[in-house]
Amino acid sequence: MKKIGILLSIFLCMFFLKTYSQDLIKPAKLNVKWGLNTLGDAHIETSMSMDAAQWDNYKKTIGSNPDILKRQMERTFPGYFLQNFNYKEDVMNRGWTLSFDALGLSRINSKGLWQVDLNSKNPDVTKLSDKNYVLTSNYATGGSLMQEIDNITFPDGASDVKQDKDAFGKAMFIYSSSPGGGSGGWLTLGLGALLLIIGAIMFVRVKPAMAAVKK
Amino acid sequence: MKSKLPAIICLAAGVLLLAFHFLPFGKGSLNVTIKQASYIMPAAYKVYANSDALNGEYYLFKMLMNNDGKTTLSDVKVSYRIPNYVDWTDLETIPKIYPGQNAVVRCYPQFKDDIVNKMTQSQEKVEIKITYNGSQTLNEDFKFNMMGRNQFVYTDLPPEEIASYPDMFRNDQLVGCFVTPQDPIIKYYTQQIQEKVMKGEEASVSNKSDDAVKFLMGLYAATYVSHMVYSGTEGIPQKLGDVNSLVQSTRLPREVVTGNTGLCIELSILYASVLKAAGLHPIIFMIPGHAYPGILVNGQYYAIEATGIGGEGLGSRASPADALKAGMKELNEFIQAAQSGDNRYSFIDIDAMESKGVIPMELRDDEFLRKKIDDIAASFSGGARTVPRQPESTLENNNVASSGGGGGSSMSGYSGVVSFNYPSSWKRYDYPVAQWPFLVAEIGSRDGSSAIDVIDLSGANSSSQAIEYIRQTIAKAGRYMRYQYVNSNNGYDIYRGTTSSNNGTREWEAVFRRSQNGIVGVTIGGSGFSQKQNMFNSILSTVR
Repeated sequence: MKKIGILLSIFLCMFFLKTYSQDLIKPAKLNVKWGLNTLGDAHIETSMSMDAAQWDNYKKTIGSNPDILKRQMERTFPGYFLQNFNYKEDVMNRGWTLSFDALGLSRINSKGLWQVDLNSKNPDVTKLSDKNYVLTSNYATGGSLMQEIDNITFPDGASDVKQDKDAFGKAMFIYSSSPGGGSGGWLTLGLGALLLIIGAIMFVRVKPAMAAVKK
Repeated sequence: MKSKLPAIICLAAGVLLLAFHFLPFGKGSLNVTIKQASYIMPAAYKVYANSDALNGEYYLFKMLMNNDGKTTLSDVKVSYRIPNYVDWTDLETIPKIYPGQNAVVRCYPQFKDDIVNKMTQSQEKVEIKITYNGSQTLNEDFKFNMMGRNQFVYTDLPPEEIASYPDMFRNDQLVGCFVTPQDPIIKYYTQQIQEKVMKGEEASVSNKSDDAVKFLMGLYAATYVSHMVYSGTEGIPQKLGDVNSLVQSTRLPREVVTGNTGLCIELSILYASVLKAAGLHPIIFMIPGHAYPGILVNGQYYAIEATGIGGEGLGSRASPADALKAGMKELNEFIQAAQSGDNRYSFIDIDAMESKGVIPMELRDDEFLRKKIDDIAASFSGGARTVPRQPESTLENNNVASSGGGGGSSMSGYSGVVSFNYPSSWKRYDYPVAQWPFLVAEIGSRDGSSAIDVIDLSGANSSSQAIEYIRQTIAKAGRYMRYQYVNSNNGYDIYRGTTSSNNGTREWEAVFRRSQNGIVGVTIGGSGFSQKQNMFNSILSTVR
């Protein structure tokens, strides 16, 4: 999940030279929220707030052409299809928020479990609840300090969320989830089971009744 | 029997519904969206093959598969081929795609090593086969441009996406694919230089700046005495799918050596290849319309103007010393431009790019080319001695951006953001630590016991803010600084302090004043501060 930070390092490099006397004292903070749905797509919301000097330079570079953010995100996530970009600025608080959907972020692996690749080794993960985890990373980028907080929320139906590693030692989350399964969904399953039960009861009751008639 | 009928109907209906739920009845439907590369550069085939290289952004295609039917698709297998290049290859088998689910498959093609023998451009086709639910099949295909091995496409962005100069040269990060230190021909050439030009060298072993610069000059000398000349190659704008880009025909280092001619970027790539083969840390500096090679050693950059070889037809040829001088002058301009935020000035750190997966192509040994190297190397021993015996003196002089009046024969002058005099035997390094752009220069005694640091901290509002920033910055490098404000005199704020590191503790004195852009000043100090205080005071008294 550190890939967003790599992206931001590009921005920081662009305006680092003019702001280094400020941003070292207070690290730039980046918040990334990952919301996974039952079909493995994710809604991602990145937000960043800056000090006055950083904001001034941001507006002169990226801020004057925010679609560059979209392109950078597409390069940051080359493995997915991104859509529904939405960019908002909070000028009074010198911040921006970029949200988008990443299709196919979670996939079903050969064991039939859902898998989310984190693309980093030994991330610092904190479990907030069974379906909510936070990854924190601090790193220097472009001579400045960056604090990135990734908050991942798994879908409502998810269970057995676990951390695992791939063959190269990269971290991943594994979890179970069923988005509804077969062709008729839960309605056909429930109705089918109900009819089976009713039919069985009727069948059992009919036998004694017929025996009584024969007597 | 009649009375059993409702029960049987209920049971049958229940079984049918459950079967309908669990078994894959109904029609599966797969909707496919493909995003493809407009072209493939054979020189970068190892980048295209590696999903981790450069964050995986150089893929052949990625495909979004959406199940827009009402039933779960099972065992969705995706395979592809590129006729004449890649046989049918399975990419991935996805066990299930639920109704409404999206699944993404990426293709990082494994081209064979002989792809680097492809000399000209052609249009090729990718065929994709998707099988699912055991028997259902979907076929897709698209075309792309397969470039020749020498062709370098500068960007992969469509024209409407280009917003800045770096966008036009987006693929500069792939230049490292042309840097071929493992090429047997380049290794052989490097050995010839080490033996016949350098008469032995230890730059990669000693890790001394002087030795590294000496090698840089030796390499230039090798091209100089072999009468290598500067010459252009084909560069034409092309439309490749959605992309419009300049396509440069770039000769490989072995072709530059054996052809004895090269363009600025080709010479830079040759230098990077030989420097890396010799165990040094090569850098290629990219500026508008030009490129030149250099090295990074002990945190300091050095550069040489490789095109100084010129040629008789071009009117002039620069000696190794002059080429180094020109390179260092360009490097100073580069640093100033980069510091001012000019994003047209960038550099390629070959080692750093290699760690990101930019791996050069495989090239095979060639007896004919080795003989060509032998012929070229014959000129090395017969040529004039061009490598200086004492490169450090040349380096010291060349590294001086501008010299002031000096202070007589035993003193030299520094003139920059501040000016002052210092002992002429001391060595000067401009921008000695790349990560600390505020450290404009360091001038130190030869025994390393004393040093002057020139500081230029743009953006700082006060000397206290500047010194606090410096304290925090150097703390990250394991140097712990304590300081105290002494007083202010003639517009200068004076501080005294100590800096501790693994190498011990050094005392220093610093003077800072306001400049147009921030705070400038010098620090002076070292070990045995009290014994040298008179000398330090005399230097500080010349600060203007």
